[in-house]
Amino acid sequence: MAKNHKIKKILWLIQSNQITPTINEFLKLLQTRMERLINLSFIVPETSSEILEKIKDLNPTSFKVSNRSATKSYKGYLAKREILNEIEFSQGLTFTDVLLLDDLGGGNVIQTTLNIENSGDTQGLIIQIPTPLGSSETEERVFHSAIIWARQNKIPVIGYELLPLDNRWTLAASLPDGVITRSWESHEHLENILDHNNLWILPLYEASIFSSVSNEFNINGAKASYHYQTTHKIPDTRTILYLPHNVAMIYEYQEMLRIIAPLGKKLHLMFSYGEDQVRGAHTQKEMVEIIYKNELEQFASYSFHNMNSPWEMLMADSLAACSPCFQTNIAQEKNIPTLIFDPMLPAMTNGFKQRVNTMESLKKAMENLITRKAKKMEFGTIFMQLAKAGRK
Amino acid sequence: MTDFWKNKKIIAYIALQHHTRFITPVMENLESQGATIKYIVGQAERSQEITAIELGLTYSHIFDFITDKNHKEIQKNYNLLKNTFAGSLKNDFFLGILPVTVTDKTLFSTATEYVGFKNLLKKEKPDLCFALHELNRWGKMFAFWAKKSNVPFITFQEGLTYGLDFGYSGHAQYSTLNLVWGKRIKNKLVSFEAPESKIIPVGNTHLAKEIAHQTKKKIRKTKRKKYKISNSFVTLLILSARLPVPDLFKPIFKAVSENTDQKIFVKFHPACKKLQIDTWIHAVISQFKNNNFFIHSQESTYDLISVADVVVLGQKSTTGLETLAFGKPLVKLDFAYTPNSAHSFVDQGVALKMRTEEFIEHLLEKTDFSSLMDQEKITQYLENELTETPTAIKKVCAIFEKTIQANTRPISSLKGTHQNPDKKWSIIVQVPENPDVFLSQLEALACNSENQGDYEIILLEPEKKSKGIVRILDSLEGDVKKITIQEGINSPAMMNKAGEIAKGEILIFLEKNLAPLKDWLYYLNNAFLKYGNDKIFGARISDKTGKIANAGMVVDHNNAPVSAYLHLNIEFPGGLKERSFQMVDYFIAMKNNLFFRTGGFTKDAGDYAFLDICLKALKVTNDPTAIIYLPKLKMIFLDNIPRKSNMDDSIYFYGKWNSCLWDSEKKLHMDDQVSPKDIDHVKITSAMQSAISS
Repeated sequence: MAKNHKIKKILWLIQSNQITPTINEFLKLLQTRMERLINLSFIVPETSSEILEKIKDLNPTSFKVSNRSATKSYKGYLAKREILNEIEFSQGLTFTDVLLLDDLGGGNVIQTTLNIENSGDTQGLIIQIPTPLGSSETEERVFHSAIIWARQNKIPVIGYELLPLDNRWTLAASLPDGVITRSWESHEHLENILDHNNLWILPLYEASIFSSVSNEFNINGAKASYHYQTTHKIPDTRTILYLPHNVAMIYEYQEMLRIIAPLGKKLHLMFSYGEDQVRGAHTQKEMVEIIYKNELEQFASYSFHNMNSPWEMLMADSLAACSPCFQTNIAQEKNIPTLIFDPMLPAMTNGFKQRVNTMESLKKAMENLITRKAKKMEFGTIFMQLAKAGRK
Repeated sequence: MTDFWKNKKIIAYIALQHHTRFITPVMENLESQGATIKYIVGQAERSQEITAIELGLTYSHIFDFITDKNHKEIQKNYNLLKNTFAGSLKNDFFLGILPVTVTDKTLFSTATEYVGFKNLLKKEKPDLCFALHELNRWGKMFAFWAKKSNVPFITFQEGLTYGLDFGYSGHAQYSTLNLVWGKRIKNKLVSFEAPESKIIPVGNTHLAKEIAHQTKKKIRKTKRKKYKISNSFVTLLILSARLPVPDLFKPIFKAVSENTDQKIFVKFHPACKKLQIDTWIHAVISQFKNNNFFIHSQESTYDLISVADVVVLGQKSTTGLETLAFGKPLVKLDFAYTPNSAHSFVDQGVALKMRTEEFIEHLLEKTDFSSLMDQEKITQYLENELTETPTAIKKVCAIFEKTIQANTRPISSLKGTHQNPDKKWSIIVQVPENPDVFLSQLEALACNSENQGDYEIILLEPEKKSKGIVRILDSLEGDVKKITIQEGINSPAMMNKAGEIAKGEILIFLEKNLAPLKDWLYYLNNAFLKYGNDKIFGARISDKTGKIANAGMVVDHNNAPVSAYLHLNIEFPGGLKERSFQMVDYFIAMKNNLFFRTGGFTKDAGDYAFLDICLKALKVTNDPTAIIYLPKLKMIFLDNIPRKSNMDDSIYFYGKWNSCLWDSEKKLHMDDQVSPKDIDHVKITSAMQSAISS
C-alpha cells in the first residue's frame, strides 16, 4: 500500500434496536480487522443516545436529529401532487386522487434532518433496513433521512437485512443503493425486485451475527412449553401452531384460519401479540377474538403470547405466518419449522422455512405437520412410558 | 309505497363506527322497502371489520373479491406505486408523512383494493353504491370503479367540513351525486373546486332518527336511572381525538366531586387512542374520584347528550351542532375559544363562552343554561347547517330512486307526427322575459338569416308575459309560429312540441336570451355540406361581456360538464378550432330526422337538455364525432346565461350519463398545448380587462 494513501471512511449508522452484545463484539472485530484499509466509523442519532455507553468500544459519534413539520400546508399539498405527477393505475385513476388527501396526509409534512458531519472522505453509509412487521417510527424516520442525506452528499448508501426481506413489501429495500442480505431466499427475492445489481449475501458466520435470538432462548422456551401445556390442557397429540399475528394483516390471517379450519379440532393456535398493537378502542387480543370469532370456534384451543417472549414459540410444532417477520426470523435461526402462506409470492422452500401460495398446498402442509406431530415425544412422556412399562 | 326497491341491490362501504351513523339509517329504510343491502369493508391498520361486527352488519371484505388470477395485476400496480414513491423518498421528505414501512403496507393494500373493487362491481352488479365520502382511498377507488361500471355512486359528508378548502378537493369527483347536510357546506365545497351541480343539500340523515329514537326509548330517563343520577345535574364534557391537558378541567372535576348532586360525563373521541385515554383518566381520578364517568365507546354520544343538562366543549367538535339539534345548551370553555375562527359556535351566537370559574359558578347555582341561549340565532343556524333534517332519510331515498331510474332509462325515439319539410330551417326560440332583449334577438335573427334558404321561426312564449313582450309578439308578421308554454311544462317538453310542428328540414334550437351573429346560417349550411346529415352542430357563444360561454363542452376534473375555455376571451385561440366534442350547449342545429331518432329533448333533463340530446345522439348514431363545434358560427347571450341549478335536472343528468362523463378537459389542453399556467395567466388578464372596462 502506498504510504500517502488516505484511508477512506465508511459510516455505519446504529440505532437503539439494532445492537446486541454479539453484534457489538462483531462490529469491534470488523473495525479492528479493517482498520488499515477502511476507517469504519459508527454514528448514533441522539434519539438512540442510550446505546452510546453500550457500544463505547466502537468509538461512536452522536449526531443531532431535528424535526420540522407543517400542518395543512397548501404548498406541501401541491408539492406532493406534483411528485405524483398524474401517474395512474393500470386502468385509470391517478395516485394523487387515491392517496393524497388521506394516506399521504394532504398538506401535512414532516421533515427529519440529520446533522451528520461529512468530512468529504466518506465512501459509504451502512444502515439497517426496516421491515413492515417490526419497526419503530423514530428509527424509520432516521432511516429515511439518512437515505436523503447520503444522496444529497453523493454518498452510496447500503442497507443490510436484519429481519427477513423476502416479503411482499419491498419499498424500504428499494431505497438504498445496495442491499446486503443474510439469506438466499431474500437474495433471490430481491434480485427480481431491485433495479440495480448491488445485492450481496453474507457468509453464514457473518449472517448469524445479526440474530434476534437471546442466549436464554432455549431454556426459557422449554419452561414456557411445560407451563402452557398445563394451563391450556393441551394433549400431546394436538398439533400446535404459533401465529405471529399482526394487526396489519388481519384479513390474511383470517383467510389462513378459514383454510385450515377443517383440521381445526386437531390444532392449538398460539397467537403472538404486541402490547402496542392497539387500534382505536381495541387491543390486538380483542380484535383477534372479535373478528375471528367464527373461525376460532372451529379450533380445539388457542392462547395468546406476548411477542416479547418469543421463546414460547418453541412449544409450537410450526409457525404459521402470512409473511416473514421478526418471529419467523427467530424460528429460522432455531430451525423451528415455519410455514408462510402468501398467495402473492411464489412457492419456496429453504431448510425449515417453507412458503406456500395456494389453499391446497397450505392444507397439505398442515396435514403433514399433524402427521409428524404423532412422532414427537417429550422426555417426560418417554420417562413416563418407561416407568409404566417397568423393568424388564 | 311502491315496490321499486324490491330486488334492488345496494352496496355501502363502511369504515369507522362513528361514520356509519350517516349511512345505516338510509340503508335500513331501503331494506325495509325490499332492497338488498351489502356492506363492504377495506384493509386498514385500524380494523374496519370491527365496525361491521359491532353493528351486527353482515359484511364482505374487499380482499374477498381477489382471486389468484389477479396477482399479476396487483403486483404490476404495486410496483408502479412503489417505484413512484421510492423515486421521491430517495430525494425528499414530501411523501414521508408516514414511516416508510407503513407507506409500503398502504401501497400494497391499495394495489390489491384497486383490483378488489373492480371485481366487486363486476361480481355483485349492484343498482347503486354508497359511501360516506370519496376522500380516502377506499371511497375514491369504489367511486371510480362504480362509475366505470355505470353504477350510480352517492356520497355524503363526513363532518362539519371545517377544514381548509383544498382538503376537500375531489369531494364530488367520481360520485354521481354528493348529498350534504346544508347550504353552508355546499357553498364551502363549491367555493374551492367542487362542482355545484353535483352537490345537493338534504339534511343530516342520522340526527332526526336519533332524536326520535331518544324520545321513543326514553333514553334520558333510562340512562339516568342506570347510572343512578336521576336527580343530579349532569354535565357532558366532549373531547376530540387529540386530548387537551387534563389540568385545564381539574377545577370542574373538583367542583363536581365535592357536590353529590352534580355529575360529569367525559366523552372521548372514538379515534382517541386507549393508552392516551388511560393516562388522561388516571390524571383526573388520582385527585378527584367522585361523580365522574369516563366514556370512550361504551355509550352512544347521543344518549349522553340526552342524559346531559349542559354540554361543554373543551375543543372543536361536531357534537356542538348535534347538541344544538337536540335542543341542549352548549358551553364552550374560554381556553378552547379562538377569536375570529371560522364557524365558531360562540361567534355565531349559538354557544355560551365561559371561563371555567364562571361555568362552575353557574353549575353550583343550578342555572338553567337554556335560558342563557339565543334561541333565534340557534334556529337560523340550524337551518343553514342542516337543511330539512327531519325528512332527510326520505329525501335521500327519493334521490336514490330517481338516480337509478335515470341510470336505467333507455333511449327511445320521439313519438309524434313527423312533418314533411317545406322549409330549409326551423328556428326555435324561447321568448325571454326582457322586451329589449327580445327585440334585439328578433332583430339579430332578421338581419343575420338572409340568403341561406327559407326559414320559419317558432316562438315558445310563456303563459305569463309582460306587456312589453305581448306588444312585440302582437306586432310580429311573416312565417312565425307561437306556442304557449303552460305552467308546469318545462322548456325541453316545449322544444319537443316545437320540433313536432316544425316544417324545416333542419331544426335549430336556441337557449333563452341568445342571438345569432352575421352569416350564421351560411356557416351552418356549409357544415351540413361538409359533415353530412347525422351530426349535431354547436356554436361559439359568448356571454354579454364577450367571454366564452360555449366553445364546445368538455368534462372537467370533477367529471362535470363545462365549456372549453369557459370565461376566457371569446377570441381565445383554443376556442377557434373546428372540431368534434362530446357535447355542445345552448344552441344546436340538427336534421329533423336525427332529432326524432334521438327522442328529442328529455323532459327530465331540464337545464341539461342540450347536453343530454348530444349524448343521446352519440349513442343513436354510434358516431363519436357526431357533435361538431363550429367556431365561425357565432352567437351572443344578450342577458344573463341561465344557471343549471335545478336539483332534479342534476339527478337525471348525472344519473343517466354516469358512465359517460370522464375528464376530457385535460386532454383538450394537451392537444392544444395549453398548460394550466397558461390558462391561469389568460384568466387573470381577462379578469383585469373586465375590471378595467367595468
